[in-house]
Amino acid sequence: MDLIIEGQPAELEWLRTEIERTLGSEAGLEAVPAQDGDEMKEPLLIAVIVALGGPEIVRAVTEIVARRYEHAEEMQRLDLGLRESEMHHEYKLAELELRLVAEDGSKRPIVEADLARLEADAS
Amino acid sequence: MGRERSLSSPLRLICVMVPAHSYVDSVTGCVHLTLRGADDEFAELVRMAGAVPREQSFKQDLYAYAWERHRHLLLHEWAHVLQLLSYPALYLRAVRGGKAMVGPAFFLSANPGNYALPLDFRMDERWATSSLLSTVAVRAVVGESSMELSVVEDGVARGVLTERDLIEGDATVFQYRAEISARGLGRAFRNWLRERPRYSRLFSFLAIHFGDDAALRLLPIMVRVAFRATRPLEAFFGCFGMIMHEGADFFESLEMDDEELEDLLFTDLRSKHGSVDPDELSMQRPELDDLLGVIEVKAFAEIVRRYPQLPVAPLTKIDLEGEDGQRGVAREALRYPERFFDRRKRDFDPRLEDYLPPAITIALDAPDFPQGSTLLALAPVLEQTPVPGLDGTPYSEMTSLVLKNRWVWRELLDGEERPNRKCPHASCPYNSPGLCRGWLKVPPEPSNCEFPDFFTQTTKHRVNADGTALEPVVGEGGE
Repeated sequence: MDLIIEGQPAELEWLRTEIERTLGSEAGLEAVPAQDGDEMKEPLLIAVIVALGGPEIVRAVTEIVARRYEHAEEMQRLDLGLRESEMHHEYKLAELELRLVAEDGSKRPIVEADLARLEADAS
Repeated sequence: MGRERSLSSPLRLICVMVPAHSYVDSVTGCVHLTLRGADDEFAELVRMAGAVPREQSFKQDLYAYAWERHRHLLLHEWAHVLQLLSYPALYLRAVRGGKAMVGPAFFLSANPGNYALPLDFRMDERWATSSLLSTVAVRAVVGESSMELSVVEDGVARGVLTERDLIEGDATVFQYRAEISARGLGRAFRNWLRERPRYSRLFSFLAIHFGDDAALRLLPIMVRVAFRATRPLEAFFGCFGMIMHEGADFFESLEMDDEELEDLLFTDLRSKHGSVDPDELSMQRPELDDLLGVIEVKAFAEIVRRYPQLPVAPLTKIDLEGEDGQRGVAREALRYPERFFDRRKRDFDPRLEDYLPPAITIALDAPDFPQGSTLLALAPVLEQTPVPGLDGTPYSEMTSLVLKNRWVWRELLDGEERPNRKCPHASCPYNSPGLCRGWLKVPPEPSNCEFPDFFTQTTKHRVNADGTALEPVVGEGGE
């Protein structure tokens, strides 16, 4: 089962880093960059995909998602460092969009609160 | 919408160290850098840019600053230039992109008449689709002994890759090896990837199937093979299928170096799909019409001979057919970047000097940086190489013209009519419809502006007095 997280590039960049740091290759993380234009430039994330392979991974991802508010300044730094056209000088954290991908490839939207339930299910 | 939380004091914004913005134009091979900084050296460069007369050392100082402070960016962009000049599929795509770029100017030249503004040029559907091929998402579903590929609209899914992912993943490995001056290990590369925003999707995809170490090793090899064929994404997955079938461990056990392994995969691809004749790879045909097959070195050399109008063409030519010590250096640098970059000296092998990006523009993102002060640095090899068939005109001269065309037509073909706000001469008839939006130089007076002459020479048209239409020019440089 995969979890797709969509949001602002800086938040996704921070999540990518934290999930990789915490779980390493266990998370099977894929960072999805925007695909636009004919210029080769720095990545601007539009989503990260995490493999929810067990209760520990679900727990870790849930904690990281919840912790993002504590690291707003780090995300602000990332935001300013991302592509000029995407800079948000009045940066605000918005709720992430989460989608759960089942084994058959079907997707359904979930909210942050559902992550805790997923963790219980995985246990 | 969901809940929102504002961040803390805006004062913090000022304290943040802001990095640069950079990209490579996939047609011209030009590297564009916009630098930001909060250090004294940056402030001094902004001051120098505004000084009248301009200080002699400004250009050298700005160029040196870019290399000193933003070396990692330049390394990454340089990788793209090396890819463009040595991967046949990218070179061919750039040639076709160049044709599409100058198409409107050619059309206007050949078809004098009155044209209402904004200009409304649309590409033929197959050309338009071909121009998007690098971003088409393909999903690979890998089974026990099979692999199924399908084009998907929603790129946000596991196992989906685009050609852009291949190119960026390859350039990212190049940058990593150049920065550490070593081959590196999979786990260390994974850690390095998260230090700052970097492309990681292709590595993640391969690591899931091959493990971190094999993914790091195989990624650039597979990408090189893929772009030595038409339809690179299909070619890439062809290599992927072969490796999956044999097992990544098998390839490690062969004790081949990267070049030998690349040849093995390339030979396998050739045996399955054959070689493409250069006659079948015309710039007059959209990429969508290309059949799947490998592009042999001889065929690539023939393509470069037929289409030498790209700024990277002289670099490609010396990489394919240059003298001993010069030939094959770009390809070697892509295979073994660690041989060419010294992390302690922060220097590079002099053999790479012939392969510097054909053009680098450097601007400073500061309110006091004067409009039109962007530095344009052309590669030395362009000065020394004449363009075939142009009576000794060096590539440097042609490259300046190519860049001007590129900037002007990219802006013009976005279909919007808006004034050129970078220029203060709002009453100029070229300004209000925004015909000159892609023109870099801002003249002191409209009468000094070089844009109208450029426009007339390249299109045989000029704007009418009220800036609402183009009208044909006969004589006066128009004919």
